[in-house]
Amino acid sequence: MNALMNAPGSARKLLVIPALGLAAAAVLVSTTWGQQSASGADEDKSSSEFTVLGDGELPTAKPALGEPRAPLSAKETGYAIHVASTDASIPATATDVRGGAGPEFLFADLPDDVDSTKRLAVVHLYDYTANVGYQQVVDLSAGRVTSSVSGKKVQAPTSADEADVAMELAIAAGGKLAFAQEFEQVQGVPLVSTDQVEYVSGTFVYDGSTVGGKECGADRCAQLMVQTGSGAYLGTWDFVVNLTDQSIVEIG
Amino acid sequence: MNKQKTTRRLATLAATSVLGGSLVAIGALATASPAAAADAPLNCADSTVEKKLANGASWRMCARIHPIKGLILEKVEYKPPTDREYSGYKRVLDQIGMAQLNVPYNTGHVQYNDITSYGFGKQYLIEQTENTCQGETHDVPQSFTYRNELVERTIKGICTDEVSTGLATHAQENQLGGGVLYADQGSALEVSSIAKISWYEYQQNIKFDDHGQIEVGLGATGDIAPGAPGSNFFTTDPKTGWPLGGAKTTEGGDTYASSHWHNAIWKVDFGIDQGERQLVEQWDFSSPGEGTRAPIVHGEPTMHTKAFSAVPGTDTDELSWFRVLNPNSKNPDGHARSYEIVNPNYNNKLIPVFQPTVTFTNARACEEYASANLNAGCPNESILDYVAKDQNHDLTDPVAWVNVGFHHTDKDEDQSPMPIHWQKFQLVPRDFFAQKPTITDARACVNGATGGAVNTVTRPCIATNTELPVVTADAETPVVGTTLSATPGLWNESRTTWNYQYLWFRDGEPILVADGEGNETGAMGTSYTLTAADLGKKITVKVTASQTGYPSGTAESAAITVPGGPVTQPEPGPVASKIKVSAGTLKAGKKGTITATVTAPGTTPTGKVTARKGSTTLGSATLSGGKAKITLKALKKKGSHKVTVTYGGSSKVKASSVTITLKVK
Repeated sequence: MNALMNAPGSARKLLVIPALGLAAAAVLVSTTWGQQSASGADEDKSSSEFTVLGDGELPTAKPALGEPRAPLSAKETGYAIHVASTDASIPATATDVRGGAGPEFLFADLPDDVDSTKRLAVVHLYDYTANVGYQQVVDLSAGRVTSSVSGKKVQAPTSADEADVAMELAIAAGGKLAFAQEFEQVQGVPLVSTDQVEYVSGTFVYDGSTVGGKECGADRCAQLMVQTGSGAYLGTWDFVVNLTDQSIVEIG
Repeated sequence: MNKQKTTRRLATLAATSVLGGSLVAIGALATASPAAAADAPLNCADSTVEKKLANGASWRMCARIHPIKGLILEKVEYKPPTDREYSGYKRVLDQIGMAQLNVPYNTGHVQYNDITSYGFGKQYLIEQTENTCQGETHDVPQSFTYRNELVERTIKGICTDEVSTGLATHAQENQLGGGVLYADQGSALEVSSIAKISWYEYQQNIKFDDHGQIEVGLGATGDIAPGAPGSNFFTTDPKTGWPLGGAKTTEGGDTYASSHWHNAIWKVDFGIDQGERQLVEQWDFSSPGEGTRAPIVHGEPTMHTKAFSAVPGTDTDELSWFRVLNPNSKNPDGHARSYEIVNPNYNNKLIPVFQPTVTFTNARACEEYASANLNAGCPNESILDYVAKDQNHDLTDPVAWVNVGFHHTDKDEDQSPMPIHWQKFQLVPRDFFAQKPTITDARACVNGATGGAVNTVTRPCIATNTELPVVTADAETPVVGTTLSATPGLWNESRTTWNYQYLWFRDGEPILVADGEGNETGAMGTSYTLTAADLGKKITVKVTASQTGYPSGTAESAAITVPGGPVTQPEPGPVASKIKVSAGTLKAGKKGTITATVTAPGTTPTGKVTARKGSTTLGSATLSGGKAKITLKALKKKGSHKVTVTYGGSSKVKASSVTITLKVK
């Protein structure tokens, strides 16, 4: 399910993003993806898949810029991520959710100033080394960061990569978690791979309504909603995944 | 009915903006007006949505999908069908979008923040198909990194459509039929998108109607929360849910699908006429006691000067309402333009941040979400924090955080898929217009106390003739020289006094006569003297009744037929003529020119015109079209010279002359 696919006979890569809404993931996996796996059909039949842009590298040169309040194009987004991530405000020690160099990208969009006449983007990043969220305003025309604000409680929704890691950690916890036992009961086999389930991940920030998870907010945590291939949801409300220290947190 | 629907449907297809670049087409369809050309560009390129609705009103805005907030609409502007209120577009909102969707389950075991923990954009956005969108679909570009690669997709993620809003107006003047019926169907521009967060799927749906009203809706569908018998979402406690049948617990007992709230907060950034300074007013109502036949009710406004939250029972009651006004933007009545928030929903009293019906703060860049704020400038804060921090500033750039609560008690029919259920509020123009922006001419004069009921027959806005004008002659048999006189007939003057103008017609064509200076002009006034040209013709008069501020009305009299004609009647004698001369200053010792114009009633004079000084002929010329340019001999002496210009007459026109003074330098 998390696999990156190379469409046969095509330079474009087709992707199935794991943190899709469950039904959407099911559609992609069982129909679109399945059909394409079987037939090698051309990806233009459906526009709902994500595909790798070019060679997948972030653009380092300024692309064609849109009007100030037009949605960001993929190239503009990629360029904004590049500028935001390589700005001096980001520590050289910054890492992503898998420990790789550079911050985790969460999302980008326009700043809220509707009357702005500049082409600006706001890029949200997370540095797992320092456990700090960054909000970088990028002037796309100038190719530089004009504002950098960071904080320890900035917890934007999880990225697709973070969802993968959360699911991997939950599976690695094995039978200790009720949802894994439930999976084995209904499916007849143990849960050992993310490919066996479909899942959505949201950020979890402690709000006083749970017994555990007080570190979530200062740490970056993900709450999973997990579905079997038959569509049955598994009970995942008793734990969250601490992505910062890569642990399972029982929240009660 | 079907025809009307078809017509509107075609209009929709023709006029809807397509993000792919049909904005030009829309501009071409729009009614051309200088004001429209002056509208500032929205600066959002293909994400511009512009729509001219069936009644001629237009909306325009920028529409996009934010990765977290989902549907975001910016620079929302309305243009009435006519320029009666104002020309071009006028801003209503700077921005509107969702700021939180909190879903706590009654079992107490879990609550979700579907906006700030998941988001309505990114991979959660659902593609529009012909099943979900009956109108136009719009491209939404999306991109992010995945496994160290930049990935993208562009899907049809936004739907726009012109949808019926049902009966817009019904006003029948007479109780028992008759009179005039004003009835029309309304329509709205609907902008929507769909996101799927696990088992729940949501439609963000905002309707902009043809009278300027905005309805903001969140529809929940998909499926109710899943679970096995005895699980968190299907407990054995009847107090926290509803029995839905199906599998029972291992002990044989019923299970109860957990009820839950949808606490939705929308962020509405007002931009009333792009005002730099906008104010928030609250109205409350109370009774000081009984009147003679009913309780007296007093309304009391409160202008809020600081950020605040309005909690029902504490700060408001059932009759309270709020509006945002721009004190520097006045409608034609001189009233400040405003929009009222109509939010009749109930709120979750158990979670403090979801208790207020509405919260107002000054617009601040860091305050993006109603709770669990994701902006690094003030992370994890909520509207309660925003209000507390904002007490040292005047409330002049208001953002409304409108809380639309919905408590969902599951029911059997929710399975499966679950029918969409709605939580909505409205933004209603209050004095944004002096009158209904689509008001018909027939009611355009109704503004304020009318002094009684308005009725087309007895109290019309438009000048209305009830008895035709009458033409009478001062001779039993009208001939040349007979004077015709007109009366205006009867007009309804209950609402105002009309001014009447008369224009005479000969066989349906306006009669032209010479004015005092010999120029041709229409025969106007209450009387008209017949000329030879009228013989054998039908003469009528048209009376136009008018008054400032009221649409005019016109009525035509019955015709009077003038006996005879050019063939059967003896040739009439020559008519009198008149000469008018125009001349500039002449130079001594040099030839000069003057122009003579000869006019006569009912005919164009022909013949010769001669200019003389004393007995000396200075020059002459032949009339052409009643005019002649005469070249004068040189006059040697400087100064004034009396010159007589004479028209020699013809068989139809008598001779005439005029003496003028020529100046020679």
